[in-house]
Amino acid sequence: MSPAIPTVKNALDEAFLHQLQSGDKAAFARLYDDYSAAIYGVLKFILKSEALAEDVLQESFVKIWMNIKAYDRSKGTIFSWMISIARNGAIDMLRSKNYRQGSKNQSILNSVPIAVDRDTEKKVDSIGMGSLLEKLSADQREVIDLLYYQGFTQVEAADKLQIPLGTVKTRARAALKLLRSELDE
Amino acid sequence: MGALTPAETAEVEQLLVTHPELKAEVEAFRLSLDHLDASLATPPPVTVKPLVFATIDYFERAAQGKISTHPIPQLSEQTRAEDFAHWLNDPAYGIPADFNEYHAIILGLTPTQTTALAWVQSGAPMESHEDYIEKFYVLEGTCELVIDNVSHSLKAGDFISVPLFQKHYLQVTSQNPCKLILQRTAA
Repeated sequence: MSPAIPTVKNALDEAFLHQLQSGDKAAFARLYDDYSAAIYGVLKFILKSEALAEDVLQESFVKIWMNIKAYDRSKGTIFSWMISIARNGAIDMLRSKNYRQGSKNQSILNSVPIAVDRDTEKKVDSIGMGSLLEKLSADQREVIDLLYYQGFTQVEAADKLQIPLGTVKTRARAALKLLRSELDE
Repeated sequence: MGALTPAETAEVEQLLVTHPELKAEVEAFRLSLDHLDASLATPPPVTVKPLVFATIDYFERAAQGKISTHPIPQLSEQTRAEDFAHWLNDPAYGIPADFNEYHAIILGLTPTQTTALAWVQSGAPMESHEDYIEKFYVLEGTCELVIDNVSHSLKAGDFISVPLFQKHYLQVTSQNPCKLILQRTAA
């Protein structure tokens, strides 16, 4: 049974937001119930590890609670705000692991993949592929992964993939166009 | 916006000011990414939620000056329940009236170690950890902790440590919830 996908198109109800920002824990519990699955899914995709995704999920929701008063509509939907907190936490986690592994160049461009056991990796990949990512071509998926999920700039992505910057931009644009058409359906 | 550098984001924001018709484009871009993210949804382990609330509660207590400076005992084979008397004798560290499946109260939180008093009604699902060693000390109730397919029967007074990366799950075997001390130490 596929988990419920939160209705990200709808702006958060004003009353609900007010409750959250007033420190209402029951409201926060509802926020967790509604969005934790999506955030966990994104984290699993970025971190390729259930163990790490679980840790960052926990940290992310604590950060969300601590910073909820800083959210306002000019920042976009609350969902994208929460996702960016989670995504930044994951990227920090990846970078600190690479640093600790002492990779010579200390550059994310040469990041060593994190060791995960095969079962988890297989499961994570197959879950990732059940998503909208499946609709993208492999080239587009690769670019979206680097730019959006791994925090690479377009220049860094071009360098990592050894393709021209223009190609990165073209693939990113095509991917977003495809995702947008999925949204409009 | 994840795909742009901070400089590029500032550029886009400037463009939005001068070209309001682009705003719709940017909104659609954000929504597409939200939609993509939402499509990855998968239920997280059930143990995360109680720990999120335990952490928030801990910070609130800290802000109110309610966290004692009493040193946190390190769990080991030598641990005894009396080591935690400071908290166990305090009614503030009791099981809540609306207890349902899990409850945790954090006793100590540092960048390298989390120590919590926890109650588990039925069990905890399979998981493994790569960043910390997890140790348990049982205070009340009985349970089976299965580590890498090997079952360990635990009762009050028992201590166990879970090695890194080892898949484990908990099954409570007593009618009453299993009450335990959980300690996660950075590996």
